[in-house]
Amino acid sequence: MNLVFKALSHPARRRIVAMLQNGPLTSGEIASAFDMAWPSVTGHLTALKEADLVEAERDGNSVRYRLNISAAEEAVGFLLGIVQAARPARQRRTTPARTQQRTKPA
Amino acid sequence: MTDTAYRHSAFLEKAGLVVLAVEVAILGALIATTGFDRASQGYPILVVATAMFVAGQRRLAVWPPNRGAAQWIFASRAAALTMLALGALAIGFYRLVPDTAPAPGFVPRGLFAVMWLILALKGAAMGKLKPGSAMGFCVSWTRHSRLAWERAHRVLGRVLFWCGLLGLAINLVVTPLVSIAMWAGTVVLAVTAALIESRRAWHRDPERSGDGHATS
Repeated sequence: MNLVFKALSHPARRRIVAMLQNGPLTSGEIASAFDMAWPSVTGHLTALKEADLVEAERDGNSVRYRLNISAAEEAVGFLLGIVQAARPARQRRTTPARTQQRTKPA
Repeated sequence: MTDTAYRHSAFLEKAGLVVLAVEVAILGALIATTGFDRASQGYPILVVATAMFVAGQRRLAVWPPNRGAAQWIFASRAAALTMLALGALAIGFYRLVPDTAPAPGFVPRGLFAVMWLILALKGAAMGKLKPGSAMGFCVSWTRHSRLAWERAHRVLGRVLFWCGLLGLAINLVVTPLVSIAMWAGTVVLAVTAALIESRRAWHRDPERSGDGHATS
């Protein structure tokens, strides 16, 4: 379960999962949707594969990825997405207060 | 099947046989003490359900689920067996022990909560289930298209999982009769949604094989 949490904690990996909802995609098709280096995308795909959330199968010269996610794991991804979306807002609220405490003269 | 999954499966089969033996003994005692008419009020359904559970477990041992789905399926089947055992013991106790006060409200409510839990666990298993097991949403087009199989089980899994969790909460406030009606409605809804979604996926799958008719 730790691997699942780790895999789904990254927004790029959650985006890959969302992309695969409609059907299998090759690694090239997935990489072309991201503005990042190919090895980074491969790293994200490896993390998803290790967590058993996607399956890889060879299709000629390329590797095709297929979603292998349960409803419970989808729920984990959904909740992690909400938590991460809420975090910056909370940090914005708490950071000025902490800064004031730190700069308060003794 | 892995060693752990094999052990879980063998344990569930043996546990099912034990529950079946206990249920038959209780049925015998009910017939002996209260007569056939009173003993046959609802109780034999439990015995038949347990016999079906044991038969299903044997079928799963021959065509086991894949590794990813196995843990959820065994969890749901363990919950189902627990419900059957508790139901049999509760009915046996309240019918065999004379002058017993009526069952408190939490007894049927607890049994229905387990039913909703089974639904949620089954839903969690569905997204990972691969073709080739004794379980699964097998219609002709899901057998001929991997995409249709995946879409059907993902939709089925989502509906069963979320409605199962929702049902667990709602079960606390509604009567058992409403709860069982909602449970059956959820199963019908999930199967209908999976049928529609899998047929749509089959139509747009370029790798499908066969014509997707029921005769194939």
